[in-house]
Amino acid sequence: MLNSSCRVSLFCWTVAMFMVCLLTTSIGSAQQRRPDTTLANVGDIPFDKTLDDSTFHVCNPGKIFQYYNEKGYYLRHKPLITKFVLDKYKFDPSFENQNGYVTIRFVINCEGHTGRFRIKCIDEQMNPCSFPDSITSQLLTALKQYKDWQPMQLEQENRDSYQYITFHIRKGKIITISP
Amino acid sequence: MKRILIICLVLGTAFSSFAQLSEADSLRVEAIYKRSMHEYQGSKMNMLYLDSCVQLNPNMAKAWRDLGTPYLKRGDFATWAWYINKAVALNPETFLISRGWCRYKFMRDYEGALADLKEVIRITGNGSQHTGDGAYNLYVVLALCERGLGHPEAALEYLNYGIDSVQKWEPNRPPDVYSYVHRAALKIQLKDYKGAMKDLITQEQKYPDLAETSYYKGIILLAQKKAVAAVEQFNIADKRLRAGYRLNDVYCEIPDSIYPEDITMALLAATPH
Repeated sequence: MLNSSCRVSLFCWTVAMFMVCLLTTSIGSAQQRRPDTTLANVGDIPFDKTLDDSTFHVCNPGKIFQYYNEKGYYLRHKPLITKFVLDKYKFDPSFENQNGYVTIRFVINCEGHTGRFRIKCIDEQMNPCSFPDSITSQLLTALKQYKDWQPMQLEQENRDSYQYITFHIRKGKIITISP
Repeated sequence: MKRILIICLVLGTAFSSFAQLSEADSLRVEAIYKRSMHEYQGSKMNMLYLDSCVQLNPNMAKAWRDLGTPYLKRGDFATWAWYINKAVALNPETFLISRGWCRYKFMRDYEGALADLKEVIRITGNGSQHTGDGAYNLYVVLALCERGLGHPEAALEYLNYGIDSVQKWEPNRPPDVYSYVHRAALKIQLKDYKGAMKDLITQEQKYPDLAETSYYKGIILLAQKKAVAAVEQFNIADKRLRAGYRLNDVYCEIPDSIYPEDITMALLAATPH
């Protein structure tokens, strides 16, 4: 049988370990990322009246395809699009310390019009970051000005589709454009 | 004593969250994972099934990878990175390949891809493993990254590993579909026209009818001042391109791809004025 001081020590030790377990579990939960169940699909862009042109419409809100569901306009005409954007992008010395990736995702509707533009930026370690408006607005404006998009064709019908374009920026200059 | 036993019981319950999954639970989680594959990738149900897997088994690396994949394909690289980093931490030998190759392919993050793929080769000693889509072995991806960074000699060395060495080690393994085109394009850059033509002839034998094969043959012939033969190749390239026989990937542009305007410019250069 344990004496009373041993019993107290053992009691304190077990309570301490139990608290450690609870703390570890709660920290683990805090680092969780759960799927956004408000969206039907990852990457969906619902209409936002504060951001979007209300005259832009999608033809079938229930089904907007991804650019890779069919060899879309972008991959068939990438050099034309990238030349258009690069010609419009104006480097400024104040951009010198800007490094990372600017991704612009948008919808091309069944008529070949574009809308619902959204921007995400990451640094070169793939963490979310922000770029100055002086860079992102140039890229966004250039993409909005490009008017030769064609709608995705699937089963002989024109469809709405999502497209994204990513600009890898190094010292303020665009070094690659993907996909 | 009774109090100590109760505390130990509570503690044991708390610790049970860290215990290995039972075989029954493992099978259950595996069944949920298989069920996720019946749902459209990136749909709410697909994501909920996969999320259930990692809630029940946080060590299920492939589920973490699959949670990230739709974000990758739709341009949300930060969220993709969060998930794929989980998979890499659990199983670096397998998922460093995914991360490295996808950093190259989707982001053109050449430095990041090089770091990941070199690490996987260091751990496993095997660079002849394929990327997830089967298009390339890892040496070829390293080559494409080095070329992207402006290191053509390093790129050529990796391409030689990826093509010739891998063929020597595994003679029954078919070569990667586009590797000879990439090496030919690189050799043209290095003005090794004889070596480039040899690679294009091999490409034509193994995987015929690509527009790029004819186009780069035309470029070599033009450099060798054989304009008539060059025009012939450019016209073949044009026909093949219109028919859709070209370097092809549904997600991303493949390096060395050609477009109608490339053929137009090449024909202009080849035709005397």
